Amino acid sequence: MSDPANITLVTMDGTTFTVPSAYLHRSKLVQDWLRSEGDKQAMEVKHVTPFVLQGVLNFCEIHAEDTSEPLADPADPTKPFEADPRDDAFRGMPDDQLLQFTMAADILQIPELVRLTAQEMASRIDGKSPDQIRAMFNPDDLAEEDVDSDNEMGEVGEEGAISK
Amino acid sequence: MHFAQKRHVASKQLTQNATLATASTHQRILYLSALPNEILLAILEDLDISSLLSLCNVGTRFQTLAYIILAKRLLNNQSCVRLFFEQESRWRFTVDLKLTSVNPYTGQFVFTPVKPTVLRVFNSAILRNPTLQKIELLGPDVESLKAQTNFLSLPKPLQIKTMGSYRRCFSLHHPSTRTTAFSLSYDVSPTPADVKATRTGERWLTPVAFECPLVFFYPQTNSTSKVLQWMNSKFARGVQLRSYVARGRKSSRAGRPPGAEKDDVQVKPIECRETIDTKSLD
Repeated sequence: MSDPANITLVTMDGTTFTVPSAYLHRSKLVQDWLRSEGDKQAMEVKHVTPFVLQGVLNFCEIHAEDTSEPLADPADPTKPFEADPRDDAFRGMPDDQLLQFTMAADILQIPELVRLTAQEMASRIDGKSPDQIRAMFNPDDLAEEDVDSDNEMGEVGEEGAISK
Repeated sequence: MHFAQKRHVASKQLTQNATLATASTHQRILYLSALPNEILLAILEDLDISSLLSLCNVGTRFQTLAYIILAKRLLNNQSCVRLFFEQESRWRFTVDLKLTSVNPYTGQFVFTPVKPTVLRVFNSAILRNPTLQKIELLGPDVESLKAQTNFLSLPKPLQIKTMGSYRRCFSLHHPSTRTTAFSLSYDVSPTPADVKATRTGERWLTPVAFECPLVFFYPQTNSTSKVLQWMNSKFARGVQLRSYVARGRKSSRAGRPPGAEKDDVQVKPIECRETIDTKSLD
C-alpha cells in the first residue's frame, strides 16, 4: 500500500491528482477500489477529464466534513433537496459542463453530487417549452426519435377511437 | 475560518478552470440524451407536472421516462382531475377524480371520483342535456400549467334520457395535429323515493370513471391553434373559425368513434355570453 491517507487518481489523459482519501469517502467506486485493489499505486478514472475531476474533487473537499447521512439513491424523493451556498460553482456552469459533472458523479458513484447536478439540471428544464428542451438534446438523436414518436402517437389515437 | 478561506480559493479555481476547459473540451459536447436513464429519472424527479408534460412532447425516450414519474406523481400526490359539469349554464357541478389504476390493455389512465358524488340533472324537452364543460388538472405543483388549464376544447353533451350505465367515448380534436380520445362512464338513475325531486324529470347522474391516455394532457399546440385560442378568448365568437377548422378536417377522420359525431360543431355563442353574464352578476 502506497499511502493510506492519500489516494492518487489518474484521468483520461494521464493527469494525476493526489488527495486525502477522506475526501472521497462518499464515492462508492473509490471505496470499493480501496477495499479490493488499495495496494496499487493509482486509481484510473478513464472517462473523466482533468477539469471535471478537479471540480468533483473540489466538491468532495467542500463536503469532506459533512456529517449528513449518505444518500442511498440519488432519486430518493423522500429527502427534499436543500440548496447549499457552498455549491454555487455549479449554478452558473454551461449545460455541457454540468452534464459532464453529472456523468463523472455517476461514474465515481457519489450520490450527493448526482443529486446536486440533477437538481440543477431540473431547474434548467423547468418551465421550458418542448422546443426549448429539444435544443438541449442532440439533434441527431432526436431526428430518429421523432419518427418513432409520431408513429406511436398515431397508433395511440386510433386505438383510443377503436376501443369504443 | 480556515475552511471558509479554502472554499473561496476552491471555487475561484473552479471558475478559472472553467474558462480554460471550455476551450479545450469543446470538441465533444454532451447533450442530455447522453445521460443514462437512471440519472434522467433523478432529474425528472425534481420537475413539476407541467414540465413533465411538456417533456412528453420531446421524444419517445423522454416520454417513457416522464410517464413513469407522472404515474407515480399522480398516484401519490393530491393531484386530481377536476371535471366541470353544467346544464343550461344554471346548474353547475364539479367532480374531483384521482388516478386509481392504469388499464393494462389500452394503457389508459383510469380516474375515479375521490368521493362519491351525485349530480342532480334534469331530462326535459325544453332543457338541453347536461354537458361536460371543462377538464382541469389540479395539484400542488400544477399551478404553472398556464394557458392550457382546460383540456376540453368544446363542451360534450351527455345522454341522460334513459336510466342505466353509460360509457361514452369522446374524441378530442385540438385544432392541432393530434387526436386524442377519452371516455367517461356514468350511471343515470331516478331520484330515490325518499328524496323530493326539485323538478320533474330529475335524474341522478353519478360519474363512475374517467379514462384517458396520458397524451390527453399534453396536446401539441401549433401556432395556428394558439392564434385561434387567442381569438376565441378575445372576442368570444370563435364559432365560425372552429367549425371551419372542423369542416376542413372532416374528410380526414373517417375512423372516428360513433359517439362523437357532431361534438365539435355544437357550440352556442350565446351560451358563452350567458356564462360571462352570470359570473359577473355573482
